[in-house]
Amino acid sequence: MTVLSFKSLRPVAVLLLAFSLSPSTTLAAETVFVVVSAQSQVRALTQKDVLALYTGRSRVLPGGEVATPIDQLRDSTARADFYQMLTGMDIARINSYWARLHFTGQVQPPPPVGDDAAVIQRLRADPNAIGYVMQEPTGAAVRVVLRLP
Amino acid sequence: MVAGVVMGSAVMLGHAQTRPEQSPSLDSSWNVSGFGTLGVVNQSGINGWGFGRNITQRGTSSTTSAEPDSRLGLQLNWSGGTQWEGGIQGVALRKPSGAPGQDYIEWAYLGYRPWPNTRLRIGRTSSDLFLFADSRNVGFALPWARPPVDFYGFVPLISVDGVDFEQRWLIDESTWRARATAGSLDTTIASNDGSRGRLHGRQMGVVSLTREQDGLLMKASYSHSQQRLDIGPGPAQLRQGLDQLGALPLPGLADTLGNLKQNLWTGGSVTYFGLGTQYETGPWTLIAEGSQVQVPNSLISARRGYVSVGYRQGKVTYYGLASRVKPRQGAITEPDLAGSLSPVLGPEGAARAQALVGFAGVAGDSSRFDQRTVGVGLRWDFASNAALKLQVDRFDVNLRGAAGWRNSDGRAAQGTLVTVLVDFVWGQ
Repeated sequence: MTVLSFKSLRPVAVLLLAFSLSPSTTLAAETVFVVVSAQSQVRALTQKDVLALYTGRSRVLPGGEVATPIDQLRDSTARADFYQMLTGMDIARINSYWARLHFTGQVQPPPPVGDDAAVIQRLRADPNAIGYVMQEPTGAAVRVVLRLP
Repeated sequence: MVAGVVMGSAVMLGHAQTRPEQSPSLDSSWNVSGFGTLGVVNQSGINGWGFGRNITQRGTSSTTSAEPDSRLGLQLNWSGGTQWEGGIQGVALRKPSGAPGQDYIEWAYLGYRPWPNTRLRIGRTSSDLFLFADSRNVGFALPWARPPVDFYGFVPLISVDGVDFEQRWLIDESTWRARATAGSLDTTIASNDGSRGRLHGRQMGVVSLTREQDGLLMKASYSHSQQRLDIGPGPAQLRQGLDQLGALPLPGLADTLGNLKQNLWTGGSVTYFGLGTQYETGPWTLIAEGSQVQVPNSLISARRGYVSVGYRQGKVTYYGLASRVKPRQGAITEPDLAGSLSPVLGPEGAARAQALVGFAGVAGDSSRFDQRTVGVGLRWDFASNAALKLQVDRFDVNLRGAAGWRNSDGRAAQGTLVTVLVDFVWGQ
């Protein structure tokens, strides 16, 4: 009879514990800028507003307009930094959270569009889109509506 | 099928970890994604009992098995702008042999949003009865190796064919969500001996209300339906035998056998009420649910509950959980009729009648859940789309309370489950 014992699992547990205590090597961004199209009526958003949009709890902006949140690439540090500052949760928990919503057919996660440049390009084309960038945007195409933290 | 799941899962996991990340077009109306779990569970302390995550599974046939937890899901989503959407999800997992193909479709619907926070759906959807009812197959979305069996093990009310209405709204800092579902269900379940049965639900209504604020989620749900269990001619034959026996001119015999007969439940109304909460603060997560199932004239009626605490440290979450299911009625006490029937039926006839009565009691008790479980485990998110989980559960099944197990013999039992598995998602 094959029996898994606590003893046989001990090396795995030690490895996991060591891994969990290892320091992170990724440098977090100092500020993340939440941006909308310059054509949007939105002038400013609170962290609660953005949190509701990026956790699938709401699909509209405070003024009632439909919002289309967009993400940066799934494994990018920009995305990890943004969600950490917005929700206080690391990216693994966010991925698990979105997996629950996505695979139960409740809400689809914000589609990833690429880096800062791709986000700004998308905002130019879609007045309802909302995104985030790591570098403070210059020019008149987009508007910063929230700074995190 | 499990071998197919294992091979497919390995391909998917490798694909997810080696594929260069690409930026999908926002204009794409279609999205393909998937999830899976590869794992084994080892059971000790019981001989010959088959473990299953819920009553739709056949149960394990060996001490160590990949069957209960291994699964592979494939999902196709369609978006037709901001108002129309659709999707279909199929899950390959171990079910009783002969289960029809539609049992492997978890949901398939067409949805319409007349307003941004209002959604109507038609088709097969997930009932919103429990915190993890609709994500029970998506291991990566679960904090544990599997949803607590004492709470989720009896649940066949998962996929509902019908219509579904959802409304969200904001009050101050809190988000509210109400959902109402109406329709029917048809699903395959495993009988105590592992054979296939069919559960039909009609006139089914489910309503739920959820409130979220900061890290606190609270949920209340209610369901009522008319259900019918089709497990072959056995229950009808037992009833017929009890009727014939009850016709004998002995005082009190008809009443005694009537009690036995009514516990051979094969249909009637089913009412469910549940409360759930999840609270996240810093590295801590607390999850608790409680429910009550009311099924008149059956031993299925029970109260269920569990509580789980998790602590996250880096990429590893350590957790503990305790659960309990307690039936509303005691086990059937087998009446001793041999003595009173001997003068009428003779010794041999009385012995046969006693055997019939005993079998009817066992059959009735086979739908009775009475057990408790405590467990500890850890989850290691070793990749952004994959997690390794280890979990050890200690279970304690009371006498004639083993409805959650296949091939049980009605005796009390204690034992241990050790689970090791990997959950993953891709294409999300």
